[in-house]
Amino acid sequence: MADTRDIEVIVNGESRVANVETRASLGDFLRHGLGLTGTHMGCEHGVCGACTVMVDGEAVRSCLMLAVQANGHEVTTVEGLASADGSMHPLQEAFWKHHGLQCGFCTPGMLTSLTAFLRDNPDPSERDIREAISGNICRCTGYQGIVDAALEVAKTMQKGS
Amino acid sequence: MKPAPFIYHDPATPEEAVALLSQHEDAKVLAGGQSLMPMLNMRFVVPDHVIDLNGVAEISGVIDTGNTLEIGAMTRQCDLMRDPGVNAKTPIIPEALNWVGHFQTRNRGTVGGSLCHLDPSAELPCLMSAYDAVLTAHGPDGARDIPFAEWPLAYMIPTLGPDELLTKITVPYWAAGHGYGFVEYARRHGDFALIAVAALLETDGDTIRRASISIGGADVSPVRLTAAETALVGASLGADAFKAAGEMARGIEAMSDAYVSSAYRQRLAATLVERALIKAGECATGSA
Amino acid sequence: MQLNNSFNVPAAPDAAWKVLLDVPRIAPCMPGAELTEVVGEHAYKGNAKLRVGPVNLTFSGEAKITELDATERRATLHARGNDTKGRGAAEADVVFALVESDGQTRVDITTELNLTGSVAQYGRASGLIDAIAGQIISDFAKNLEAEIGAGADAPIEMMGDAAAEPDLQPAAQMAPSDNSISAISLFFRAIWAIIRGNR
Repeated sequence: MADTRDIEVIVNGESRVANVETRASLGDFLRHGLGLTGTHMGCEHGVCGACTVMVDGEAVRSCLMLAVQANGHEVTTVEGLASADGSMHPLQEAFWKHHGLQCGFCTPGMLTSLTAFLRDNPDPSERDIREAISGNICRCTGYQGIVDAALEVAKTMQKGS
Repeated sequence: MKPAPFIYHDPATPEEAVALLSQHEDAKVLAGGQSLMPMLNMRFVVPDHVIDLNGVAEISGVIDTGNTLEIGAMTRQCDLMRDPGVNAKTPIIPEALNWVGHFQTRNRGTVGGSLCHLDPSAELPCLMSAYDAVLTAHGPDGARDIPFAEWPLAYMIPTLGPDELLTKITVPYWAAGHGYGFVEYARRHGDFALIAVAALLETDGDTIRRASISIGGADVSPVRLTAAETALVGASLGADAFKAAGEMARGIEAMSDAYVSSAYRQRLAATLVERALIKAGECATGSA
Repeated sequence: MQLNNSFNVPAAPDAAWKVLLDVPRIAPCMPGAELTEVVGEHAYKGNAKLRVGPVNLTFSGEAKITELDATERRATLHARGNDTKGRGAAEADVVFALVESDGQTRVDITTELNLTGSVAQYGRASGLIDAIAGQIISDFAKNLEAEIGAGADAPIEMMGDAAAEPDLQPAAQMAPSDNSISAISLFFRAIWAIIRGNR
């Protein structure tokens, strides 16, 4: 008999209730339990960043959290970044414009990490941004497009538009 | 890459956690999870029970007692970095924490977890060694205080009994205006340190009156360069004194591994001790 | 990996040899070891607990004396066990050689240890597994030294009886070993109590 618990998590603004195995990671719960496959599992030991989501607004590795630990908390995944009417989050727009993605595997982790980072650091230098994404590995882009996108969004946020 | 099945417990108090540890022989304590979860995922550790401390509110948070900083074991690394009191009175701590993992891991990782995990190249043990911090453990028979020098027992094993819980870390303040320097080298930014050095200096004008130098990453636990510390007392701030201190690091016991030899670590330690002291010297403003 | 240890005991080689062959008696000298069954002459089943940093390993398997040369006073103990949680296996060939020196005995222990499976990869510093194995064998040697040395203090008749009927009782009655390093001192005290006749 597997050890299970009932949990309630607010995911992208919506209350989700489920019975999960206590050993299930938050990432696996989001992907398999809730069908939110935007969050990707890469290394499953915390170094690649592809699984990054926001829990209570803070960027965390969903592969290193148990689903049961999210009980009573708010989780934002990449699916929760766009607006209800489908229009993209400014960061997503900027990634599109600056070719900040190719295969898209690292992208959800990049977006959630940068969303949290830019909210707390509205006027970063390029070096600050590179430091911020140092925990997210990209094999395709060489990072420049990602950095450009983040810089543009920061500038836009500065202007207050 | 999924954990083997275990029974999950989420105690609400330290006493409950200790009772669970006494009850279950094959149990692992889950704090921030940034070190334990990878091992669970890879099935390096296969405990029958996991005791999650994230609900034990009373062992989280920092308190300024006037001459010490008391850090609850479950305090998140990011919260320690952001605390204004910590930044004012123990500035080496936020400086060193910049090197700990990445900001996403610091949002979950805890101070106590890092100290119990005791990775040889971890920054927090290196800092607590430099500070001669005192660690408080709770067991079925009550609490006991463990000076950091007595904390590491063996490779990644602290002197914590199987039914004991680390609850608090007490850091004695250094005088206002003390100098501090933390340097670390890894081949890629964010990798485990090959060598990390924490240096603290108290000065009277240009004369050093107190020094602490702790080297991480060389041996299984942080090494205090006590001979160099003694030699620095009474010396003048400056390149000569710092270079001499660095030279004394060449003789430390250092591990050899697949990446670098022990001789390399010794040379690296010499350079980084000098650099850490230079940084400390630059920001030391003398006693008030 | 090969590990070498040596120690002296203030006993004649014959007396030391008898203690050495009493596997149930020397098994408790190995930190974390526990004999659970005698399966044949010089063949036993048991467990060995070992802690590599945060990882607790329990190897379950067999030990048997595969070579016995009473004239040369050399014996080989072959032990093999699997991690009960499936992370790998350990195999060891331990050669004991007794050499007389000035009425005393020098015991040379050569251990050939082989780890397989994920247990063999753990630890970023490759020397650490060696160091841990080395620590265990050296603690084993220290405890053995005390066991043989103390055994020699006892009257000859007692030694003779002990050799005639290897007494499984002490090993079986011992509580399952705690795998913390401080348990070594507990074992030591338990062995001393038995040697001193508190059976």
